[in-house]
Amino acid sequence: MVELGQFEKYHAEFSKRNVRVVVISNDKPTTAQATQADFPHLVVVSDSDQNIAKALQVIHSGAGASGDDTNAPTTFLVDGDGHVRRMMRQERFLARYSPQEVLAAIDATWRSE
Amino acid sequence: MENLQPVAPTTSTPRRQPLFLGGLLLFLAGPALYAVQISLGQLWTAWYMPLLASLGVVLMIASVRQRRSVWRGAALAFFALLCGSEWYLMLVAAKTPAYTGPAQPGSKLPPFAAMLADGTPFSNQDVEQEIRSVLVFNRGRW
Repeated sequence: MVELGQFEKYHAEFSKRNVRVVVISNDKPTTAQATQADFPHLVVVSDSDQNIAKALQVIHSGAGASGDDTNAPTTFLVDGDGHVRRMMRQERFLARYSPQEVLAAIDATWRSE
Repeated sequence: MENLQPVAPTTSTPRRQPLFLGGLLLFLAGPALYAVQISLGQLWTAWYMPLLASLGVVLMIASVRQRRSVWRGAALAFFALLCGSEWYLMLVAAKTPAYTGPAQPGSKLPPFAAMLADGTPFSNQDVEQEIRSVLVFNRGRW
C-alpha cells in the first residue's frame, strides 16, 4: 500500500496533466472498497477474477503471498483512445516506479502533444 | 636500601573483539534500514539487506573461529541460512518475468471487463474516453 499512498500524495500532479491513475489488483470487492476509501483520488478496480490481468497478460504465476498467481507490478500509459503508449516494469517486484518516475514518463511521452 | 621484592608477572589475556555481536548488529541493520526506507515511501530494491547480512555472517564466522561453542555454531548456521534466503529472494524469487503480452506500445488495449471498487462495471471502453490513464497493476492489499 506504500506505492498507492505515494500516488495518492501526488494526485494533483496527475490531475494537472489530465491523467487519471487506475489501480488494478485481484483483491475482492470488499478489499477494493477499503483501498478506495484509503486512496480517494485513485480509481480502484477489483479484478478478482483476473479478467484484466489475463487479457493484458500481467500475471506472475505462483508469486502471490501464499504461492497463488498475482499481478506482476506493471504500469501502462494509455492514450484517451485506448492505445498503449508505454509499458514499465521493474526487474523485481520488490521495486516499484515512484510517482515522480511515472510523472517523468508521462511528460516524456505526451510532452509534445 | 629498599626492600625489593620480585613482582609476579601479570598474565593479561588480549581483549577479544565482540565480533559475534557486531555481526548480529550488522544483520539486524538491514531490516531496520528497510523499515525506515518503507516509512519514507521509497520502493527501490534494498540490495543493502543481503549485503549487510553477508557482512554480518562473515563477522560471525570470525567470531566462531576465535571461540567455538555449540550455541555460536548453531546461531551462525541460523543466520547463514537467513542470509542465503535473502539472496535467494533478491536474485531468484523476486524477479518478474519480461513482459510479452499484447499491450505493447502502439497497440490498442485488448477487451476486458471487471468492476470498480463501488461495484460499477469497468471495461476497456472506460479507458477510451478521452482522458489519459495510467494503469497500475499491483499485488493487492496484503
